Amino acid sequence: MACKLQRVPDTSEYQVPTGTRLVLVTKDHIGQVLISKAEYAGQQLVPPGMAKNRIEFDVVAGAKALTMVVVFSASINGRGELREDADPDSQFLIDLPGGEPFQLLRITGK
Amino acid sequence: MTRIALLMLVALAVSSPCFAQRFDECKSYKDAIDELVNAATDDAARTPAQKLVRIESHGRCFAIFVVGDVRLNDLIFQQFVQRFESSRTDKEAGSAHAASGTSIVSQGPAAKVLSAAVEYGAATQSVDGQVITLRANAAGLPSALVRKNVFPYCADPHASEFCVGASALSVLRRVSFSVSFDASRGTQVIGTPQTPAAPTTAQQLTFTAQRNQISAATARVELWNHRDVTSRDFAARWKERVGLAMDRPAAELMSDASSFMTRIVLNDQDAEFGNRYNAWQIRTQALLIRARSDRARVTDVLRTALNEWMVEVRAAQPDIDGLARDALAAYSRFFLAQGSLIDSLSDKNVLALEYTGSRPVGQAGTSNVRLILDLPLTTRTRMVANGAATFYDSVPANVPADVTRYRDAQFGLELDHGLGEQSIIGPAVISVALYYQYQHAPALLKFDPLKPIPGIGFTGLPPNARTVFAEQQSIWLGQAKLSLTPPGSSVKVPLSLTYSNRTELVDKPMWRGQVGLAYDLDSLLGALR
Repeated sequence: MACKLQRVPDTSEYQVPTGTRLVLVTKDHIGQVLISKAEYAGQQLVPPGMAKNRIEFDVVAGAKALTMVVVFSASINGRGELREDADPDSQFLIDLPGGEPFQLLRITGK
Repeated sequence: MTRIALLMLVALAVSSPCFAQRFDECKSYKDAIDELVNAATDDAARTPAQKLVRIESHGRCFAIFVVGDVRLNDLIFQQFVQRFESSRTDKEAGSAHAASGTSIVSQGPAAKVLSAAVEYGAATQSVDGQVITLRANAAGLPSALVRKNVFPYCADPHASEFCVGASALSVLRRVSFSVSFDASRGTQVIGTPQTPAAPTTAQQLTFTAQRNQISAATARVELWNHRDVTSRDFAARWKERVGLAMDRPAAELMSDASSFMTRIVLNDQDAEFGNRYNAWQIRTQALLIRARSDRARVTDVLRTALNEWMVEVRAAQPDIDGLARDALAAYSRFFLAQGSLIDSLSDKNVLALEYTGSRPVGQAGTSNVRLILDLPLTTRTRMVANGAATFYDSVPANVPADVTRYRDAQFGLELDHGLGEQSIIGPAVISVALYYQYQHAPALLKFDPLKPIPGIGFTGLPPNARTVFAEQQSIWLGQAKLSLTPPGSSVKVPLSLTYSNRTELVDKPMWRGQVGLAYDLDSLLGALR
């Protein structure tokens, strides 16, 4: 299965057909990196009191934000990356540095 | 004012130098600028230039850029005093009346600094019968100041801003102390009900701490703490605990940082906003690549471009500066909680030295020096060993020559084993412990016929007797204990069965069963915060 997210060249906007199911995963570089909170189109993607390395959601129409808070076992020295997972394919989306635990992805459903 | 000065002194001691942080020193911007400046070709410069124009990847550093010079230290200091003063509850008598039920307010010269720490969340206060104990960790005060948004947490290695550092907190967490006041030794004033028409209103009890009411004081220093933040054990413990432990600070960060950042890069009311942001990114990226060989120029280009974008944002969001400040405060609390969790899980082998000065009712004052070794044996099993010696502070003048200041030596050994999934009643720990006390000098009881010791009666003493010697024999004690923690609760219920060959005053073997109830006050305070 091929990755679905397409970046608008030279910008930070991602486009994807509306209704597509996206699977995003964290990959550890320094220490462990997990997603503690994630929200997309008003939907909480991580249950309260949990931290996960994988989130899934269906893309809705229009420009929406995927917001996340990431936790690091190496605190501010931690480092990881967020990838789209479409087994066997996978693509790099953004760096996850320990000093920037809040991340936002602009995803436009077309 | 003395309290404020003391609190400031502690805060200053653990803080970094004092001037506002430049946005280009903030780690994520600094790393990307370094990468851009070191790029050998325009092609190689594209990736770091793309990173720099992606504002949403630099949420914290961009908030620092927005707040800018507003966070100068004179303001921080001014805010500190204002916030501290406004949080004090001893300024008006009314604050104590507001509590429903009985409240105990510790005041007086001996407890002032400690009670200030309690008010500010840096120390905990517990009441056991008539004994009021204040416990504090040396890291408690600076941590409380970060939680109260007085000072930021140092998230950047070379931050030039006034902030509380992770390494300083880590050292301070190794020092703790407590003071116990025996309220029965002083005067307690029972207040009258607020109005005669409210007979069910609980009466207020005021405890005025005095120096002679201090029944014990303890100071503890961790001499050796082998930290483990890389092993598989640590990783498993962190993964198990992080979701719950970080739930609240992560939710706060999600709310505050999201309110700030979504207004910077999205605007639901303006369909063209996203396209203008994209155009700004493409334009700025080209300018950065052109300036890439000169760090100062790169910084200037980025600063100008960010200011240009902020003109657009401020036009639509005039409250953006306040949102940036709220977001930065949430980042600080998040980093503090994340560091505290890691510290709490990373302790492996701990060797600590503890001093306790006691002045029990009716007994000679003692000093106890204890060495504590805490050794995890497996992920579920740990061993704690104690060795201690107790000395009389002074020996009465009329006692026999063989009564020395060296009172006793103690040795204790405890094995704890977490039952984990084997337990059908939730998390449980089973413990067995052995204790031995070598009695070098007899226990001395100070006897005053006008003030009898509670629970102890003497017969056949000469009329002029003022000191009573307990029989001098070693004490053995064995204990088995089961500690239950109901799932999802902060309450701990220890059930224990103890055998001792004798006590200091009673020379007969004794069996004792005990059921206790302990509550984790931190979680209660956390819920109320």
